[in-house]
Amino acid sequence: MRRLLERTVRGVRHTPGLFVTTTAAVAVSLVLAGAFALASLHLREWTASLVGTETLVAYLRPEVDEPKAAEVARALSALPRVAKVELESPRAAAERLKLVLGAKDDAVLGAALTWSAVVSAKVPGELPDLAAAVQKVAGVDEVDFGAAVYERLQAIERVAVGFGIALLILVLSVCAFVVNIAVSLALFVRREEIAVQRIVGASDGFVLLPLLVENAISGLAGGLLALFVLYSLFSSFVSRYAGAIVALGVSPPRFFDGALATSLVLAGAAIACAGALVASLRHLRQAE
Amino acid sequence: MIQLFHVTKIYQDSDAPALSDVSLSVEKSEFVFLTGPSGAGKTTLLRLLYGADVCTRGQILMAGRNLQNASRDVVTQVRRDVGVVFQDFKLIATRTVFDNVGLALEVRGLRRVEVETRVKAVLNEVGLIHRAHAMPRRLSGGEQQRVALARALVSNPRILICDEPTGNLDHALSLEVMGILEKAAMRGAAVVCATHDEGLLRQHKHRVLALDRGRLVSDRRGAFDRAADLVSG
Ligand SMILES: Nc1ncnc2c1ncn2[C@@H]1O[C@H](COP(=O)(O)OP(=O)(O)OP(=O)(O)O)[C@@H](O)[C@H]1O
Ligand SMILES: [Mg+2]
Repeated sequence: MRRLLERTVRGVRHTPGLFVTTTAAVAVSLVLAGAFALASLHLREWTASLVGTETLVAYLRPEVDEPKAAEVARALSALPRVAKVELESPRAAAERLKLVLGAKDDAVLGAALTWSAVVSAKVPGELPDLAAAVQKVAGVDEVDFGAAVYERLQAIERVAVGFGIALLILVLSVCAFVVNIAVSLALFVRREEIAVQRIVGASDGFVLLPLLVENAISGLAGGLLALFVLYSLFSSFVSRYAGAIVALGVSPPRFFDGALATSLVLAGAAIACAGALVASLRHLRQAE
Repeated sequence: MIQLFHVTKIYQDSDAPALSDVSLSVEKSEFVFLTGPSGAGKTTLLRLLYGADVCTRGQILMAGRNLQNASRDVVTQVRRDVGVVFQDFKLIATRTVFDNVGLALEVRGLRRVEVETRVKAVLNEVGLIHRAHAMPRRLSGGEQQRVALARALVSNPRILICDEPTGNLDHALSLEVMGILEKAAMRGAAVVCATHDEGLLRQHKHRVLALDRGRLVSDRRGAFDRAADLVSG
């Protein structure tokens, strides 16, 4: 193991260009990928809260009276995704409707209306799930969460995400390709040394493992670099637009949590290894 | 240890065979000279023995392993049984003398301490311990040749193949190198040594194989009065 690392270090010293190229390619592609991931993490939340779809209205059954309505409200508050529940009496609803519709006969309206509850979700964008849960609570008659608006939003989101993923695949494959070319070049530059190694009895692993390790390390380095660049960009974005974010009233932007950050760095190592593996396999085929 | 059956080698871009219908065998602990004029096929024959090239027809057995249609693994195994001193040395320019010699043990996965003791011992034997940390290009031709010899010897191979191992050496150093090779044969290695050097053939009474234009024209044991004839064909 130590010998492998020593030989890896020797390889880096021999062709430092490979290490630099791989690290840079991985860093650039992961910055793009990470920026996209960060944007899509917030897009959903922010559009949902900007369009005001973080609340739904539950109309209670006609037979539910005031004490029962309070009970239902308690049951709704106990649901895991619920942030807040506000009850509205039929009378208050009628007053509001009268203002909106300009209706005259409040007796008729009052008789037709039931108790209702305005339920706010903890996390915007989970309304369909929340609506389903609210519907199951005893005493709830009907749930309205603005399905039409919501679906349109989701359609836009799907297109954006689909486009983003296509872009991501393109960026990552370009990166793997660049790494593959860099490794092939390194193998070419080291060809004499490799030929001597082989003639004195080196196995394929002896020749190629240091290259794979080298690329895994430079992939990790590229991942860390990308994380650092992303965090700097993120911080400067947040400080520049802090005012706007407060004014819009959306939730403050968050950076990747530990798990996502780790997977970003590991993804870097994985792409770099994939590129190196492809080049190594081609090298072996040519050596046949 | 080494067996060739009707081996013919025709290079792709030439019509005359570089080797034609060569059969021979070399035993354990045997020392064999391979001679013949320039272009006779000596290097070609040696290259076939360590799997650097494959023969067009025939069979080659090295320490019981068949090199014909051998897998990469088998070729690698054969190479670990064989120590080679190349006509052009084939040292790695970016590595020190010590590392060049150590490579032969490194590829066999030996531990560092063991590599160190064995490399030092063999560098002592070829008289280059004081140049252990020099780069090959800073050495004279004769010194490089002895580094190549050290690399071939360090793994204690069962078969030793040398292409003109004394080509760049003065008389005294030639004698020293021959002494080292003969010692390897005494320890049990089969040694094949290609040379043009008539003096060498006359002084060291070993079996001599002579090639001429790809054919094995003579296989004789003992002293040679007509060594010059064999060398010049
Ligand atoms: N790679 C090659 N491709 C084509 N022909 C080759 C190749 N290597 C050698 N030959 C030819 O094969 C013949 C034998 O060459 P070889 O190198 O084996 O001779 P040699 O006995 O080692 O000569 P020398 O004493 O000069 O080293 C020569 O005619 C040479 O031109
Ligand atoms: Mg030759």
